Amino acid sequence: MSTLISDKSKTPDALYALEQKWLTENREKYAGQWVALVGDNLLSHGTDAKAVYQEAHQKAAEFGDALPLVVLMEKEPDLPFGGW
Amino acid sequence: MSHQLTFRLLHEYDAGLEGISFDAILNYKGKQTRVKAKLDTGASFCIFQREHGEELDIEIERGTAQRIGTATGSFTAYGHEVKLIALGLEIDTTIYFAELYGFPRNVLGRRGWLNQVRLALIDYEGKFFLSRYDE
Repeated sequence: MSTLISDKSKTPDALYALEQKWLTENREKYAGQWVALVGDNLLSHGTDAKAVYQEAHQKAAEFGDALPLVVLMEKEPDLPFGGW
Repeated sequence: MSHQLTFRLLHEYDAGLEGISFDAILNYKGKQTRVKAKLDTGASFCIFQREHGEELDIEIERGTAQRIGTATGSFTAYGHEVKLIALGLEIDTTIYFAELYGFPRNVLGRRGWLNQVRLALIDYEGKFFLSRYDE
């Protein structure tokens, strides 16, 4: 179920919490793809970052012109990070 | 001897997830993008995926070239002056964009971010206290 984010009532932290949850739940389905989100609303996805950005900007108006979060979904589960 | 520090901001994160991540906005000449970034106190620089730089119309290779070492090899990134907004702080700083496409993550490291702030971390509770360095 998605949450409509059109009234800008969500704080940035609340919005990011929804996005983080969506990213965790959907990693496998979109592995290796760029995704653009506003809250738990998927605006665009695909392997071409430019195309994803373009579609996301077009759809952002439906979400109060919120700035979408654009993320490359990792192909593997979020492994423990070894640092640089 | 005890020490006491005060901070302006408190950010809570999910300590159950791998890494400490939050969203960050990059602003370059009025154009902006919002990305997910990880805190990395071991990283020398702030390094972001090339695709985000291109979205901001940055000509990546015109930046300052920097070779960066990792535990398993090295890669090249290019430094550019951008405005970075993260965790309620807005900082004009140098961000490095990876030369290669598909770089796996974005990190906020020492030069460019950590050296601009004061922070305290209570990882057990998922709490992150933050102020600008000069506050």
